[in-house]
Amino acid sequence: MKFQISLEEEPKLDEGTNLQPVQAQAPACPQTQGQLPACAPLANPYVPYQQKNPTVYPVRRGMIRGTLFPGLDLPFMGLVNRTEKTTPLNELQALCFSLGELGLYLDTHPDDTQALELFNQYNTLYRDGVEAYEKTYGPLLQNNAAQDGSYTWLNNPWPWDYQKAGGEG
Amino acid sequence: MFVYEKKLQYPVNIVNTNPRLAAIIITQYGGPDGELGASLRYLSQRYAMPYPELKGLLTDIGTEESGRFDYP
Repeated sequence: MKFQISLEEEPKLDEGTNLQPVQAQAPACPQTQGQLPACAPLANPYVPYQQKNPTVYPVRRGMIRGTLFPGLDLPFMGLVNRTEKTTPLNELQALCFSLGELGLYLDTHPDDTQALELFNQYNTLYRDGVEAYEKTYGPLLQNNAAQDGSYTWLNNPWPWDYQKAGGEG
Repeated sequence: MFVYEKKLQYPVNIVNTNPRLAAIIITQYGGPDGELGASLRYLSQRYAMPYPELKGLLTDIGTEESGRFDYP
């Protein structure tokens, strides 16, 4: 038996305007939910569109939850980290993580001025934080490794050297 | 482009070293279903991506995935 593919029955993807989210007639969803297209082809899995102006966690909380956005906070098996660490390095890690999260959000929501503002604000905080951190603890980037006249890039500790007190190794 | 930062993405304080466990974990970096392969797939697929916002997403996700396997 021969299979015949009819070209006429191919879906016309150019007419895919029904794939756009319909913001106008759709009811406003709560902050933690997204929107789906009103009409859509059958038997396709969907990821809802994240809405504009999402609420965000504070940076440290976002870091331990694994996402900056409460709407995307769906912990696997209900397991989450609980301890918010407060070391100077953790402050930077949390800011860096939040910047990454906002960057991903802005990729798909580039017109969200509130998110842009927060992005710039965290960026300034991160830049200043790195500068302050490097003065005390040494360079994070090799480019900054000779600012005081000597080359400090090779100084310990390296990131794999951090150990919890009481460990064996 | 790869730029090394002398810090981890997430704080880790090693309590005990365990080479046997490390041998399993390292396959998650470079093994057949590891982060290295995943990040390279994102970064290759973006060349054929016609939508700018998804071009950006694939770039950023691929970069973030590299951040996970990049050695401390």
